[in-house]
Amino acid sequence: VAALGVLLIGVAGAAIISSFELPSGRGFSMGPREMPFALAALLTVLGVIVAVEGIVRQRVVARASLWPLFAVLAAAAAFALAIQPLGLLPATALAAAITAGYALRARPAVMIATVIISVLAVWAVATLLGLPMPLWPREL
Amino acid sequence: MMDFVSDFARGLLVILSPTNLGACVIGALAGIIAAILPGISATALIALALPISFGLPPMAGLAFMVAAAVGMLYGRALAALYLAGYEPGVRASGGLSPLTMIILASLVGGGLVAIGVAALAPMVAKLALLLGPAEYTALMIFVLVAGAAFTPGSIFRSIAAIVLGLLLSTIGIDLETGAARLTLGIPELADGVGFVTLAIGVFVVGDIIRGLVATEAEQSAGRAAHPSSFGIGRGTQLGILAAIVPDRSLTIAASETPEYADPLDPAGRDSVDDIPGATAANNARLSASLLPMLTLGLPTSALAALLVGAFTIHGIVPGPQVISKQPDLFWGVLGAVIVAHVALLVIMKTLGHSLARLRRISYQSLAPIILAYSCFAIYSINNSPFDVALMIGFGALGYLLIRADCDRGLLAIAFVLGPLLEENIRRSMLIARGNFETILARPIVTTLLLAALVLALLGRLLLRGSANLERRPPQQQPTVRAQAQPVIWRRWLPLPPHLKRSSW
Repeated sequence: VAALGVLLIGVAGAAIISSFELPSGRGFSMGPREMPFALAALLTVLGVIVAVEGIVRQRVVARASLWPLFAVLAAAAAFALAIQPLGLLPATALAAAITAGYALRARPAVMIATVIISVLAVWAVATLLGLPMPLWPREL
Repeated sequence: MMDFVSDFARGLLVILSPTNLGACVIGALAGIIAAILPGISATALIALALPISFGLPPMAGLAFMVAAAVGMLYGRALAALYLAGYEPGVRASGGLSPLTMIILASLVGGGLVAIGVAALAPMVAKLALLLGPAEYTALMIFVLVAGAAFTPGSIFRSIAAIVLGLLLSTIGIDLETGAARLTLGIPELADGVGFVTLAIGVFVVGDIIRGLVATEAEQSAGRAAHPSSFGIGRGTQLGILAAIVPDRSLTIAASETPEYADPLDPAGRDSVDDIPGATAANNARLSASLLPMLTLGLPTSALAALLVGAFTIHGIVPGPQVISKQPDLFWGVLGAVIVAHVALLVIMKTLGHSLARLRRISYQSLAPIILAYSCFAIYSINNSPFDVALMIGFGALGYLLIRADCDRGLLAIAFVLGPLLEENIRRSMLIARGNFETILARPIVTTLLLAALVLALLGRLLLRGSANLERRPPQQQPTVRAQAQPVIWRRWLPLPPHLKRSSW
C-alpha cells in the first residue's frame, strides 16, 4: 500500500513538472494545462495520504513472490521486441514459452501443448479477422 | 407505446441479420466458455473481447461485446454452481434443477430489465439533451463520487484510483489547442493512452500475475465475494439500483470484480441457494447499466466502462445523440442483450454440463495462452510494439492495485469519463466567464453536487454496516450435501439491516 502511495506521488510529480510547459488558459477559458495540473496536485496529496495510511495501518499482508511479476513482464517484453523482426507467430510462441516456462516448470509436455495452443489461437483470430500483419519472419 | 414496440422490433431485426446474429451467438459462447475457465475476472474477459470487437463492423462488434458480457454472467453462475458442489440430476422441490433456476433468474434479471431500459431510454435521452455542460459535469462528478463512496476499502485509495484514471486520460494531444500533454516527449503517446491497452494491462495482465502468485503460494489471493441470499426479485431490484448508482454494498450479491467466489479460493465458495439470486442481480445490473451508458454516455461499472470503450473504438461516442442519430445501433445493442439471453438459454440447456468441465483446466497452463493472446491483441490495434510495452506498465500497475486493495474498476471508469469531464468543465467555465459562483448557482448542479456529498457520507455508513457480512467466516456456510437439497432460493428475505437505511 505504501508502495502505491509512493508511485502515485511519483506519477503526480512527473505530471506536474511536464504540465508546467503547457500553455495556461487566458481570461475566461481554460487552457490545456489546468486539468492535468489540478489532477496531479490532487494526486500528490492523495499519494501522501495513501502512503501514510499504508505505513500507519500496517495490515498483515502475506508476502508474495515477485517472480511471477517478472516472468509475465519479461514475456510481454519479449513479444514487443520480437514481433517486428520475427513476425506474429514466433513472437507469440516466445511470449507463451516464457510464461509457461515459469508457470509449468515441472511439466514439459503441458508446456509444449500450451505454447502450441497459444500459437494456434492467435493464428486463428488473426486469420478470421483478416488482420494485416506478417505471421512469419519476412523472407530475406 | 407503439413507437416503443416498433423501435424494439427494429432492434431485433438489426440484430437478426446473419453477421450480427453470428457475432452475438459466438460472443455469448465465448463469454460463457471464458468465464468458466479458472482465475480470470469478468472484467478481464470483456477487456480481452475488445480487440476482437475492433476487427468487426460496429454493430457486429458491439453485439459481440454485449453478448460476451451476458455470456460471462451465465458462465460465472455455472462455474459457481459446480464449485458449490452441484451435481446434475439433483432436483428441487418445485421440480426445477438449479441450472434451470439460473437460466430463469438471468432471463428475469437481464431480459426484463433490458426491455425496461428500452422503454425508458428515449425519455432519458431527451432529458439528457436538456442538460448543459455544467449539469453534465456535476453528473459525472456524482457518478465518480458515488463509485468511490460505495467501494469497500480505503476511500483515499478509491479516490486516488479515480484521479489517476483521470490523469492518465489527459495524456496526449489536447483537442482544443493541439498541445501535446504529458507525453514525456514520446511520440507514441501523442494519441493518448489507448483504452484497450489500459484495460488489458490493468485487468488481464494484472489478473495473470495475481493468479500465478496465488497458485505459486498455493493460497488464496484477493478477497472473495460472498454473494448473499437474495431472491431473484430482490436481486433484480438491487441490480437496477446498483446500476444507477455504482454501488458495491447494495450488490454484495452482484459484486463485479471477484464475481462470485474466486475459484482459486476454496474459502469463498457460494452455496447453491445463493446463486440464482446473485445471477439475477448481476444480469439486472448489466442490463440496467446500459441505461446511463447508452443515453448519457456515463459508465457506472467497470463492465460498462469497457462497453463504452468498445463504442469509442468504433468511433461512436455514447450519449444522448446515439438514440436519435444511430437508432439502428442503439436498438441493436438492446436487441443483442435479448438475443444473447435466448442463445444462452439454448447453450446452457444443451451444453451446460459439458462446458462446466472446462473449469478443471489448470491455471498454470491457461496463463501463458491468455498472456500471449493479450500481447497479440494489443499489438493488433495499432501494429505498435510500444503499445505492448505500455501494457507491461499497466500490468504492473494493475497488480500493484490488487495488492494495495484498490479498485481497478474505478480507474477504468475515470479513464473513460476523463475527456468528457474536462471538455464539459472547460465549456461551462467558458459559458460562466470563469465565475464559479454562476456555475454553482444552477439548481441541478447544486443538487447533484450535494447529492454526491451526501452519498459519499452515506456510502461509508452503509459499507460499515455490510463489513460484517463480507467477513462471514466460511464455516458458517452449509455443507455441500445440505445445499443440494430442496430449497433453491429463498424468495422474499427481509432486507439485511444495513440496506434498510438506504435511500429508496
